Amino acid sequence: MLRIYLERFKQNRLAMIGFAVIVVLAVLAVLAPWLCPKDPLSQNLIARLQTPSQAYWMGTDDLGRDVFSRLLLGTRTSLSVGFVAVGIELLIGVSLGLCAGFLGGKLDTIVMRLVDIMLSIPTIFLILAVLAFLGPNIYNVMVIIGLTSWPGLTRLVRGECLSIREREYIQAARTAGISTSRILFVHLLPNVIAPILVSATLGVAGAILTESALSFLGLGVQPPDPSWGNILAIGRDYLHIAWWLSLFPTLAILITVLSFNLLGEGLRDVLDPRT
Amino acid sequence: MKDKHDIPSPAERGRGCRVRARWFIVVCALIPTFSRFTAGEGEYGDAYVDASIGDASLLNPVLLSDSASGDIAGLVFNGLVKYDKNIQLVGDLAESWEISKGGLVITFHLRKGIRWHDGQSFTADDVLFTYEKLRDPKVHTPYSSDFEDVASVTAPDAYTVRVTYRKRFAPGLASWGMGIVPKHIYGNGDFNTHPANRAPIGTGPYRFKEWKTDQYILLEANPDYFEGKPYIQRYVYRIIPDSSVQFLEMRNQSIDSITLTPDQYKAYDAIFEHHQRFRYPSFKYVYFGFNLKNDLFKDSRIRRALAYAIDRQSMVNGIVLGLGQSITGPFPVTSWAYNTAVEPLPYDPVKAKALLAECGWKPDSNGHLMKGGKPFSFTLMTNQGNKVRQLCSEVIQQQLKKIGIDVTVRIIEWSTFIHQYIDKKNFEAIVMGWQLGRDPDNYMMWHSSQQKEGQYNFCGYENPQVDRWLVEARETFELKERQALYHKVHAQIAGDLPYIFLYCPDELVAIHKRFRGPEVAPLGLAWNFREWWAPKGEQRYRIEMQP
Amino acid sequence: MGNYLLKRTLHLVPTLLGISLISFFLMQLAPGGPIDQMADLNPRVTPEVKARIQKDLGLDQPILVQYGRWLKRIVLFDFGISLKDNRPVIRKIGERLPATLLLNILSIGLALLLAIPIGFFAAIKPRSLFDRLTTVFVFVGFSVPTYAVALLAMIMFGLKLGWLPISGLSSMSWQPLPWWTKGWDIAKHLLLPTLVLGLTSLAGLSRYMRSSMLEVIHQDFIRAAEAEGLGYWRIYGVHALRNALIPMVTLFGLMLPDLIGGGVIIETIFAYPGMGRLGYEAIMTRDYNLIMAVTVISGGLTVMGNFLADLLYAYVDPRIRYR
Repeated sequence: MLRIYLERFKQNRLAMIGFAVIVVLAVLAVLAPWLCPKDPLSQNLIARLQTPSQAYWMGTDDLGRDVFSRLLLGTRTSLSVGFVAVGIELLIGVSLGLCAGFLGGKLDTIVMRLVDIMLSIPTIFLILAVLAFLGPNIYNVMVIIGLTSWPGLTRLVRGECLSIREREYIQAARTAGISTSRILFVHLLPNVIAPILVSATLGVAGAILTESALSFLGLGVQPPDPSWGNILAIGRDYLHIAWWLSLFPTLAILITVLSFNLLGEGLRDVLDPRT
Repeated sequence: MKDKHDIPSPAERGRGCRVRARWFIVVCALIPTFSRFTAGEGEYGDAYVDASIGDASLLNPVLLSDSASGDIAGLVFNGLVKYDKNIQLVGDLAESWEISKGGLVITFHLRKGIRWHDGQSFTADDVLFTYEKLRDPKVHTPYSSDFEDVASVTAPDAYTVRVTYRKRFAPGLASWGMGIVPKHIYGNGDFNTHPANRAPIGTGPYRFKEWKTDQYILLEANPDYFEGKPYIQRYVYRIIPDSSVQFLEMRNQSIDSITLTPDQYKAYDAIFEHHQRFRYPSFKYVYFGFNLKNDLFKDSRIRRALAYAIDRQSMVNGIVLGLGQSITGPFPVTSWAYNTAVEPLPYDPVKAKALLAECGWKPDSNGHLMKGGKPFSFTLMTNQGNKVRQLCSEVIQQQLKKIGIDVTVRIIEWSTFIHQYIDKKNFEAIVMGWQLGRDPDNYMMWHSSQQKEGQYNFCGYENPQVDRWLVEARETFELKERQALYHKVHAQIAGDLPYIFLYCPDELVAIHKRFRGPEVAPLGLAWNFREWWAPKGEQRYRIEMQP
Repeated sequence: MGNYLLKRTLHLVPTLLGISLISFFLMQLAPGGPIDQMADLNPRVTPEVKARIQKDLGLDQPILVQYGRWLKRIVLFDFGISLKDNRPVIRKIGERLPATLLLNILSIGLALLLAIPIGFFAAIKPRSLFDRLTTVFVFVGFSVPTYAVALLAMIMFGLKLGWLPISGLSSMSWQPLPWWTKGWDIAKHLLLPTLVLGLTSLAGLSRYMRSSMLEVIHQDFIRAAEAEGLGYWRIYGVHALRNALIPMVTLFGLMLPDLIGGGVIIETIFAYPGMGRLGYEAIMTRDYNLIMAVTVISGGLTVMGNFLADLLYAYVDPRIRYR
């Protein structure tokens, strides 16, 4: 079974490219502190806004910091925002979805109402308000993106559960007296993993974009810690005199988010042959 | 009209006696000899498109508390007095005034024949009405404390207003720069929510015409203005929330005036093909303040040592690209209260170390300053959302590291910062800024009585001598005497160093080249806006007059 | 149908209540009070003045009392006054809502106009060159931060080429102009924001269309139609397309909050007077009543949108009622 998936996945060239890029990025993120040619945090006010050169591959920013090094370290920030946010989303979304879908009854009603409510309020207002009130920093950014993105996933997982619940082998497991939690995690979860995987991959892309939007509004990861979003947000103030400050972070975000999206779409193609 | 307020971060807007001062920025000069263009020389017509980050809120001088509203209200309303280009008080709606009974009574003689924009006559009743509203507890005005010492305001006749104070209060005269609102409009209905707050009727050089919320506010020249009709027919206040978009709009010539960042100001000249750049000192300053109740900073020698260790000139060069001035004391550089005789402390890390050694702080083998086995370290706090203050903190951190002091920078959300740390005096050192009014009275920041929670002497500065001078200055109307007192205050505070005063940034503005008349003065740039004009051939907007 | 309608209507109540709860208690996260912004460290505002204003606004009451009072008022559409300018909040929102709806309808319209054919053709020949190219294209559009696209477009079409205005909703001009000139002017101002906002929803819509279409194609009735020898275009262009479009209806309800939210950036950058910017500015100035109203109203609108979409869906696809 896995073999077939793998074969099918390999045929999807776009998804493969996306996957390769993500692997490279992940390696860069892990090794970033050792790879930076210059200290990404040290300021040099004399060398501010230098054009890209041999010394500074992607130029310097408004405080004379090396943009290339900052982008490298920013890979770490942006990817961790993506992964941690999605981690939180998965934790809440999957467990609520499984419980609601499998146990049904009152719990299901309550969870689904909650989902309806969360899906109705523009998430961005919740995120902005929380960050404006509690102060923006990388942890708050990760957590709040995660805390506001689960409803879609919950709905998805619940839907899948509902359709699997009635299948014979689950019914058999139930009559055999296997504990609910065992059924949930051993029998149900593996069968809904495919849509979860797709949704998580797309979720990482979304979280990275959200962080950059928050940075634009001044509520993302705060400098001096670099994130792609806040490098770009600084760049906009220097659009007319320092194109490199906008171009490189935009490319970084574009390539990464695109890769995750292509991978996600590829996974969907592979795992869900209906579509 | 150049100070824009910035919605994203309240802290970035200047603080302090900001609002009261704002009144005087826009108003035009009274005395014709001061201006290069006398009536009849300019050409009428055209529109002036200004840009602002945020929209106005209430176009009512008694209620407004944001700079956008202040910009507009400054063109629509007049006070009894105003500042001229050299920051001297002159008459506005009042032709003249007398101060009697040792400063307890001010008698204003109002100009006759002034009409509100709707044609009604302006009289002393309107002044009385405005005063009542300022003192009315139901009115949400941030200015009532300016008038707390007023015992009574009466109108002996329709063109005389007599103000009696409980005690002598020199800044009181300037507080009558407050825009006067029309009684016949506001007479009925709730003052706070009155519809006229969005469609104001004033006496000023421009009449309110239209307000499209979050798009623009449109004003039209007042043909009956008592100093003569302004040349520029229309004034447009466009709301463009993103500053990079504002800059694009400037390059596109869709806006005629814009506030610049130091980098924009220094951008290559081709960008300013159609605009002229102006630069003048602001009324704000940035400081590095101490908690004087903290054992670490009690000794003034320590503070002096830190002052020697901080290279303020390189700070000005690095942070505002040289577009500002380092300062020595608690007044803005352009204020008459600023004491130019006070010598700035030089950058001298060697002297700093020597002074610290004198106090018992000696470097260990790693170069860290130690005393009694403890390292010299403290936390420097500033509020989140103000880039300049964060940068200053980081520069201070780096420079003090060089002499062996370990500084931790903490950036805290505004409200928490104020209530949990500043108000409760729960800080060691801070980087903050003040934006000051045109009247130099700074009793609230330096008098020893002003240390309670929520008051502004949060550093805990106490000097009986300064206390006396501050009180005396409040009671002195004679400018020279008052100036002498503030010079003494300046010198004393510069010696005591409750703050290390860092610098006063410049205001940077670009204005379309077709306008003749902009001239930098101590008061700022737009003080003679009424006399600006554009030659017919260069005018960009054709305005067809409705009959 | 009547039964379904009733059940569906009853569902609205707890959802709306939940939205109001979240909106209200979100405000309690804010340190300090709403008047901090206007009063902090302004030497002219004494603590007494602050206390007075606080009392006037009812902010000295216990929190549950405040919620109860607020809920009672909002049921009657009284959202209080904005702390910024003392105007009724509902009127401020009323001013922005049409502008937001206009921008959103235009950009959804544009996105649909592109998404339906893209999804349709991509699904007819899955994994073809067309499919792949459009996939990459729509995802590139989706993957660039909106404000980067917006600024780039402004520089290109506004500054360099001079074809379109950069920001705002209309030009400054005071000559008596015929309505078509004015209309053309507004259209030019709307073009860039519509394009940029449309681009962000293009990816989602076209992929949804593609999978919806694929699902239909694999269904029996299409096979049956093929077996019957109906014409290619009749099968795909009419029967399949019609069936594939039905689930798109449900998408609207889900898209609404994203669109209002997406407006935060687009509206800020294009100086466009809409709801997103209103909400964002309210949050940054802690305009309590306004923040709560914006979240409640946009939440309420979404709920109503979903409700209508469901009804519409039940109407076009009767199976749904029996689920």
